[in-house]
Amino acid sequence: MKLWLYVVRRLALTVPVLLGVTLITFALSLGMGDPAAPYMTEKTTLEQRDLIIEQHNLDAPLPERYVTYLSNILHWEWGFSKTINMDVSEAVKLKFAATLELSILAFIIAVATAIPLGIFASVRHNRWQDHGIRLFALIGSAVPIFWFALILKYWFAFKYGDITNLPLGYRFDAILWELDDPIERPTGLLLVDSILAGSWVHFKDAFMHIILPATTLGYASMATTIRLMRGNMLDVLGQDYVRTAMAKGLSSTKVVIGHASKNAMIPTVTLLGMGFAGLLSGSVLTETIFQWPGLGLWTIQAMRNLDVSAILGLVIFSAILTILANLLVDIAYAYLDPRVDLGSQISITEIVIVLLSFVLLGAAYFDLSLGLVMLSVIVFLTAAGIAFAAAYFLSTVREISDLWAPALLFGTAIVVMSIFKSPESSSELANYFRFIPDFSQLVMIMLAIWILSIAMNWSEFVSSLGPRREEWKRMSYQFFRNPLAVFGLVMVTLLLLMALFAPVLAPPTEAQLERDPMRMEENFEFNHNLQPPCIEWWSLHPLEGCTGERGEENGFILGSTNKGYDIYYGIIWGSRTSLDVAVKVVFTGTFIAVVIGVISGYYGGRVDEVVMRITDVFLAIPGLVLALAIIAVTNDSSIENLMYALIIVSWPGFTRIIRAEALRIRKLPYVEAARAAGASDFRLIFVHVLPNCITSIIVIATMDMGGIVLSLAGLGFLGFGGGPDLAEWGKLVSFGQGHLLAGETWAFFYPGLVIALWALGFYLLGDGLRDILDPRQRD
Amino acid sequence: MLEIKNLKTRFNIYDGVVKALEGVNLEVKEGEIFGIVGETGCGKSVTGYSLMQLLPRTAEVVAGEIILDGEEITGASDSRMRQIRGGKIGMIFQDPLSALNPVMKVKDQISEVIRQHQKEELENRTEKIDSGNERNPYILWSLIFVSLVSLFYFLKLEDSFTDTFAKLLFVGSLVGYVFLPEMKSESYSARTAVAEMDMVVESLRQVRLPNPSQVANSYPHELSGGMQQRVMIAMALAGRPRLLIADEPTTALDVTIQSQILDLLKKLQKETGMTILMITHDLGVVAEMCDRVAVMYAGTVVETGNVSEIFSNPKHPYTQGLLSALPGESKELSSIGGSVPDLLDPPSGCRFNPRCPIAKAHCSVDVPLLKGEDYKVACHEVKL
Repeated sequence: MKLWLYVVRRLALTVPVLLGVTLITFALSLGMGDPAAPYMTEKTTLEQRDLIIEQHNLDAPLPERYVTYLSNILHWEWGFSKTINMDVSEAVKLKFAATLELSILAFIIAVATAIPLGIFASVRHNRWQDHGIRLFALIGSAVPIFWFALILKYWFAFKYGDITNLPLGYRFDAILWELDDPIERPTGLLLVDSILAGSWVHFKDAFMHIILPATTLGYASMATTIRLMRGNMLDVLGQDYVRTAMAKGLSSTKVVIGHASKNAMIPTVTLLGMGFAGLLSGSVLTETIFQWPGLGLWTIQAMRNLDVSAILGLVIFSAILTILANLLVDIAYAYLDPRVDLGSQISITEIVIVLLSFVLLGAAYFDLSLGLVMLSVIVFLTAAGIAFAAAYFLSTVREISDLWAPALLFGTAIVVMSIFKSPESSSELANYFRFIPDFSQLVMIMLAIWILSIAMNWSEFVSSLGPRREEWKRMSYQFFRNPLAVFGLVMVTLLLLMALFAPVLAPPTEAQLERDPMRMEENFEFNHNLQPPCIEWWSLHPLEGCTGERGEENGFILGSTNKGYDIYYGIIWGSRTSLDVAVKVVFTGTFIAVVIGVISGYYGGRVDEVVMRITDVFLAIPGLVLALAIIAVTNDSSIENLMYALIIVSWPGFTRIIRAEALRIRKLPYVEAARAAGASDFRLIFVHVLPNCITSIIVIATMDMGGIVLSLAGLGFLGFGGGPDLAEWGKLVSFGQGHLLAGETWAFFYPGLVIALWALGFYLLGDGLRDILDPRQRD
Repeated sequence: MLEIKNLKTRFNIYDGVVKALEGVNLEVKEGEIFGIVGETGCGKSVTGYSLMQLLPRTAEVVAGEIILDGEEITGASDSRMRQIRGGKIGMIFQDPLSALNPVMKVKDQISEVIRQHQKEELENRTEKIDSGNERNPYILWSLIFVSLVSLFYFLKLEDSFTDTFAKLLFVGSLVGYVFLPEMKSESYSARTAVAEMDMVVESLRQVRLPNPSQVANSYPHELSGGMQQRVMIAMALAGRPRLLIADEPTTALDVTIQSQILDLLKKLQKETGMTILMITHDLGVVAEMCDRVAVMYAGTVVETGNVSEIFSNPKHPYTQGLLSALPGESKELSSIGGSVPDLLDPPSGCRFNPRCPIAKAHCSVDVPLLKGEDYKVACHEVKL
């Protein structure tokens, strides 16, 4: 196939994905109380409201409403944003350039530093340079982006601002750009505009404003890219053609640059598109801190005002950006890798899907009644497809064990529900789960089954102990040889102990015990007059005048925030919040992902196609933005709701990884051999495919224990971390943010440090586990 | 031309030290095809890699000498080794598809060798190529770019230093643009590229590839297995090495292609008079190709001599066992009892003694040395 045809095909395929995104936003908009709210301004009267309802078909049945919604989106009627008194479509045009400029520069910074560093680390494999770069990368993915931004802002813009001349925030110096010397801004990207105008002064001003936010934003994706590039390089350096290049007598530089790095770039590039979605997520946080007048800052302002139309508009818009970035990446991939077969995947289904979505779009755009017909056709076809698949599946069932897939799905549903079943839960959803056993009971049942299965095969178990001990010895040797992994293990153990012994480490007062020890105690004496920490981080000795068990009398061990919250107490008890959320979200997300991913990867074909398109839709929306949208629409920032949001955001990514792993394993010769020997699907999946996925599942789950806490802290930082006084790390950082310019750094420093250590610990542990669990990496 | 004395290579892995080579002794004469034959894991490939110093990181050469044309190369510097690799010793590998870089065109992969080892030849050819009237495309494009950029400023700015600068640039690039056709393309690199392509095509023609210029412009995955191996050979020969190490060159290929490749290697050897070190597990290949052969077992050479002599009258019990395990017309198939020793903990004395039908008590104590003039055997019990 020709490259241009491939591009056309990929472009066409983005349309169904975008339709899926609008379906999600539509579903979210249903969650709001007043359906007319997105289109109402402050001056709307009740009569006008009726008019709006009539005009936008808001009292019609759902399918009709969806078609009207689609038509509105296509006609740039995205609703009205109360926050900035402007139509959302107008506001997006206005704010878009700022975010784009920031993201692109961050992207450039990330890629331009990450690729050389990744290559260098792989060349110095297992030497100190490698460890250094790995640590640098791991820190980059572990530090919460908002905390890193605050630190950079404090040091470079505030404390040494006189030397560096860096501004504290905003996009440009208003006096220069709007009064003194206004220049034309045709593109809206200030760096480009100033070059076009040929003005060094403007360029310098814009650059000074953008450099800190862009560095902050770039660091996180730089970290991921370094790790990817290093891993791919290590893989490539072991290939035969690298040895051939050495045998030609080329210098090692030529071999690494000329032969290895180009091959290693190929898989790295495919993941850069995903990285761009991460940048958009990160820009929400970065823009908030640097007051960068882009889409992210606007979203947060909108969130605080319950301005839902703005958030839904942002969801669609960031999805479009991500999809475009992925499109570019795919084209780059096709260009870079001559082996890629551009035409192998075209199918009738694909053509039908694309055609249907185009007709639906066209009908919606021209307000034809055909749109509704098309929607019904699509719904009908989907339902028919599902029914057909179910009938086909049932017709192939010969034994009871062939029913494993529905049984597995049902079991998953039970487990997931039981996790969220808690008696105190105020969430409405929990009411539906009454019939489900408690999670603890479920764990006990599973343990009992496991012990029973061991007891029934006792002799087999005993005989497997010997080799297993050997294996354990070998693993622990490998693990303890890796200092970073040991550090991660120690870190994780310490933090878990902290959560376990919270009542001992930070004893709650009696009043707190009566309410709920998770809630911090307010102390309005210190509302504007923050108490400095008794202990400075460089020396663990308490300062003079610091008495009392928690230092209440003259101060707090780690200082206080406004409202007089004790930071030490918040950190200790916050570890329980983090642990609770992380365990539940990771467990549930992984569980869902394993079930769906393994089924999808194992069966392939249509099932796989459908699952992948659904994950495509979810992955097109930057995680934090989607989570924010869910919270905003439900108008509920309780910790349970945060968990639901985080699960919805995180399962598609997990599923992708596990599906790819299952797909890889399914094609391995030993699975083929087992199939040829007449093994059933059940046996193939549970004996041959799943156990071989376990290593990657464990590694992903460990890594995500860190990642979820970062997301949680991000949400908490934006003000959505449970109740206002719930001990939560991200929220503590946000309390401290306001006191940055008073030089009261402890208020944001210590909670952020703990978040970073938590994430770093789990990342290091996950990395170490990958090294020991993957038999291919042994030497 | 090549002499290996008492070569010892070790692998340090988690379970201990693998004594992969334990005193390998070989002598390869100028212009012959020398075979190294043995079972999987007997160290024949490790010998090849030790020669090229291409061992993995976990491995090291702990003792021994490798003398190539009178030059001791075991301790050679990295830059000297680079001259030897590809320049004096070429190497071809087992699986041509994985040994060729998948994202580079064939011509780029071959011209790398030419640029590295055939600089003089390349320069000579470049001199001979007539510098035609081609304009250098890079200069042309950069001039067009500069003139467009300066035109942009020229139209936009008024009266400033940058404006004057932009005007100058614009006029300058226009002048350059006008005078460019008068300049003969002095571009050396363009002519070098032509010369390089000539040499690439020549080397591909040398290995009897049909339509060499088309092959040169394709990627490895677009070629068949036999063609890929021919490309590998062309690449190894592009540096005009005097010694070619062929590491199982036919194992990954179809039987019909195998014989074509072997024929090709034989013809090339006759044409160029180079020496070939043929590493293989296939006794058939040895019988067909080689002048002399060394039989290896568990990291040592047990027997070496003329192919005809070894095949008709093997002296070492291992070689005898090996040959009687070949299917023949008049005999029953037999196999050697026992299994290949674990090189982490090899048997003491003669490494073959636990499996040897004629082993005596001292065989598990003393290490047998290679004895003999031209035909050498390492066995206590064999009298020459």
